[in-house]
Amino acid sequence: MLFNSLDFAVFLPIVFVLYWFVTKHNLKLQNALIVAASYVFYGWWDWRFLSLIIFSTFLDYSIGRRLKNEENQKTRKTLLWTSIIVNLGFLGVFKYYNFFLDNFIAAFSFFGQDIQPNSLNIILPVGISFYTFQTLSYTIDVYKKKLEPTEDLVAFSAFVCFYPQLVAGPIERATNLLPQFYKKRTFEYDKAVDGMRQILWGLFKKVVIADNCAEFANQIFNNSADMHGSTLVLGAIFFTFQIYGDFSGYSDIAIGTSRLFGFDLKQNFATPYFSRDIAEYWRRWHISLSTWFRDYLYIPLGGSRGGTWMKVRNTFVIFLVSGFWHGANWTFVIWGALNAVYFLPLLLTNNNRKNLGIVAEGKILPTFRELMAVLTTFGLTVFAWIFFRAENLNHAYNYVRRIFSESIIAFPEFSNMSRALTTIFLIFFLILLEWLGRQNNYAIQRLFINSKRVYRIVFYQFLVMVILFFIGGEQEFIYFQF
Amino acid sequence: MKAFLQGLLKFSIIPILLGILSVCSYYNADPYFDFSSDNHYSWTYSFQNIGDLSTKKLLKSNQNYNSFIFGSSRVVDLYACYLNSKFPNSSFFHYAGWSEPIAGIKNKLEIVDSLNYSIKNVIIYIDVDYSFKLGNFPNYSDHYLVVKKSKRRGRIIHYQRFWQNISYDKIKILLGFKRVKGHPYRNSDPTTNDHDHLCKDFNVRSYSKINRSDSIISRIDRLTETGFYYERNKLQQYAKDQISKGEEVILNEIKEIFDKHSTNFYIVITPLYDQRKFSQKDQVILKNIFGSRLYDFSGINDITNDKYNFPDRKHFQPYISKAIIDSILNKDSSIDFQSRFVPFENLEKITKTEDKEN
Repeated sequence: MLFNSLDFAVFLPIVFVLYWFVTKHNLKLQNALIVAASYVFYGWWDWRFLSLIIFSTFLDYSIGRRLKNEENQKTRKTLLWTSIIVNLGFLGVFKYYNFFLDNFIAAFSFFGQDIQPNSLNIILPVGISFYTFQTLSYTIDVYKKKLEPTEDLVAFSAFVCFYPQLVAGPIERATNLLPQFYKKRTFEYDKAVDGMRQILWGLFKKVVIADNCAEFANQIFNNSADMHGSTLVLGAIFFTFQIYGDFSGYSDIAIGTSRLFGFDLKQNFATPYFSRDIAEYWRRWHISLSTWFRDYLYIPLGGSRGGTWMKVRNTFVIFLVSGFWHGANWTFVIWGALNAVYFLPLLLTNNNRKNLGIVAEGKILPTFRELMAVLTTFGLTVFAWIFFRAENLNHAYNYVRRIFSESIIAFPEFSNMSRALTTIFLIFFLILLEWLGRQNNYAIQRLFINSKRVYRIVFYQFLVMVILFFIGGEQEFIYFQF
Repeated sequence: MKAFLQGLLKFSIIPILLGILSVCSYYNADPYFDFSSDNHYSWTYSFQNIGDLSTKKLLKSNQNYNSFIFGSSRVVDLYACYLNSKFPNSSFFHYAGWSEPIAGIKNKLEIVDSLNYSIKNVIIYIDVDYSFKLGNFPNYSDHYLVVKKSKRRGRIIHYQRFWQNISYDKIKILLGFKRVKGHPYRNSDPTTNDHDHLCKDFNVRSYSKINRSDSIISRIDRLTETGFYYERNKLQQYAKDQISKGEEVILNEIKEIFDKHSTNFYIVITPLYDQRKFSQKDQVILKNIFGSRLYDFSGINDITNDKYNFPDRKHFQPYISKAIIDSILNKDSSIDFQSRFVPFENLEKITKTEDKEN
C-alpha cells in the first residue's frame, strides 16, 4: 500500500479509530491491532511475502530468548551467526542471487568458459532490506547485552512489522522502538497535530516535488543519448530532488503517522542538501541507515582508529556496502565508492567533524564561504547521483561524457518545458521552506508557529492546494525497491 | 482527542468541498469519456490517449472486425479504409495508442482475442526510439484493460492525470466549453476508427499526395536553420541493445496470438528522422520471431534522407505510410525505396565494414 494512495487514505482512519476508540484500554490488543494492520498494509502488495516477515520475527524472537539464558560464549556466537546468516541469506537470495550469477558467468566467459545461465525470475520483496536490518539490530544488541530480550511476542512482532516504517524505514533500533510497545500510549493532542503537519509536508515532498521531478528525470535519463550536456545536467538535478523528495517525504509521512499512534521514530533526514562537506552530508542523509552501518559495521571494523590504511579500508568498506545495500547493480557500488572518495580526504585530514552544527545557525543568510561550501557539496552529490540513477555503468559513463562535451553550453531542450519551469519553481519553494526550517526536525515544524493561528491555517491550506493542483504522475516510492 | 478530531474536521472542510467540486465538474465534463454512453469516441483533447478511446470504442462496437492496426502515433496516418481496399474481405480497426510500447500492443491484441474477433490481418508499426522504452509496461495513460488495472483504478488515474497539468483550458473544459482545446476535425471514422479523417473517397484519393507546399518547405527550412532539423551522421547509426528478456517474451506472445489465428501479419520498423536502426542483437531477436514478415524502413534510406518527409522530427507524412504499404504488398509505389532494404544476412558484414571505416 502506498502512502500517497486512496487505499491508504481509507486504511489510516480505520486503523486510527480502532486503535484509539476500540483497543485503547488494552495494550496487548493495541499491539495486536498494529500487527494485524501492518500485515494488511504489507499484504496489500503481496500476501505471499508476509511469510518471510513472520519467519524473521519468530527466528529473532526465539534467538533473543535463547541468548538471554545462554552463558556459553560459543553457543551465543552460534546463535548470533544463525540470525545473521539466515536474515542476510534471505536478503542475498531475493536481492542478489541473479546479480552474483550474472557476474559469475561474465567472469568465466572472460576466461573463455561458457556457462549456461540459470537465472531465476525472483521478485524482490518490498522493504526486505529495511526489516532485515531492523531485526538484525535487535539480535546484535541482545547479544551484546545492550538490550534485554523481549518475552512479549506480540510487541516484538509489532516492532518488526510496524507499518509506517516497515517498507522504507526509518530503520529503527530495538533500543528506541521496542520499549515503546511495552508502555501504555495515551493520545496527545500536540503530538498528533505535529504528526499531521509532518504528513502534510511529506506528501508535498513526495507528490509535488518527487513525482514532478521524476517525469523529467526519467525523460532525460531514458533519452540521454539524444540530449545536450546542459539538459543532462538538468536531468541529474531533477533526479537529485526526486530522490530527496521521494525518500525524505516517505520518512516524514512514516514519522508523522507514527506520532498519530503515539510513537516517536528517529529523524531520518536533516536538510542534507545544505551540508558544507560530504561528512556533514552523510550525517544528514538517511540517518537511520548511516548510523546502522556506523554502529554495526564501521565501529566493529575498527572505525577511524588505527593507521591510515585501516581508515581507508574501513571507509571504503562502509561506503561500498552502503552502495550495495541499495541494489544489485554495479552503479550503486560506484556511487558508494565515489562517496568514499569524497569523504576520505576529510577523514585523513581530521576535518570530518568540522561542521557539526547547522549552516548559518541563527542567521538568515549564509556567508559567501558557507554558500560556496554548500554548493560544492551539492554539486558533488548531484554527480554521484548520476551513477545511482543510471541503468548500468555504460549508461553512466556516456551520460557523464556527454555532460563534459561542447553541448554543455547549448540551451537545454526536452519535452514539456513549461511544466518543467513550474517544477523548478516548486523546487525553489521547497529550498526556501527547508532553509527557513533547517534547525527543526522537518521544514514546516515551527513555521508560523508564533504567528496568529489563522496565518498558520492559511499556509497549511495553501500547501494542500499546491498538493492537489501540482500532483505529479503516480510513482512508487523509489526506496521500496531497496 | 475530541479537539483534535474537531480541528481536523474544520481544516478538512475547504479541501473536501474543493474535492467534491472537482469530482462533480470532472464527472460532468467527462473529458476521457469514462462515464459517457456515447460510442463514437473522438480524440478531442490533447491529454487523451487515443488507445484508451479506441478500446472504449471497440468494446461498444458491433462491427465484425477481422483486421487490426497497432502502433504509436506514427501509425495514425496508415488509413484503415485504404487497407480495406488492399486486403480482400478485410474489415480493419485502427488501434493506435500514443507513445505505444510493445506491451501495449500485446495487451491490445489480447483484448481483441478475448472479444472473440477473428484476427485475419494485422499491421504493427514498431519504432526504434520508443517501442522498447517502457520495459514490460504499457503506457500508463491507456485504457484500464490495457494497463491491467480495475475500472475504478483506471478512472482514478484519468482523474489524477487531468488535474496533474491543470491549465486555463482545462478549467474551461470543466465549465462546459467542451471543445475549447479540442480538435473537432479529429473525429475518428465511426467504422474503421481512422483518426483525423473520415473514410471518404476524397481522403483516400489524396492519400498518396506528396505534400510539398511552400509553407511546409519554408517551415522546415526555417527549422533547419535553427538546428531543429540537424545534420545526420553519414554512417549508419545503431541504437543500443534495448529489447529486454521480458519484452522478448512479449514479442513471442504476440507471435503466439498470430499463430493461433493464422494471422497474415506485417511488422514494420518505421523510418525515423534520426536514421537509427535497431542494434544487431535486437534485429536478430525480431527476425527470429517474425521472420520474413519483418519490414525494416529505418536507417539511412530514401525516405529518411529527405527531411521534407518529416513534418517534425518524430513523425512522417501520411504518403509515406501509403508508400510503405504499397511497397510491402509489391504494388506500384509513388516513392522509390531502392535503398531501404539492408538484407539482414549482410548486416554483420556492413557493420564490420563501417567499423573499419571509422
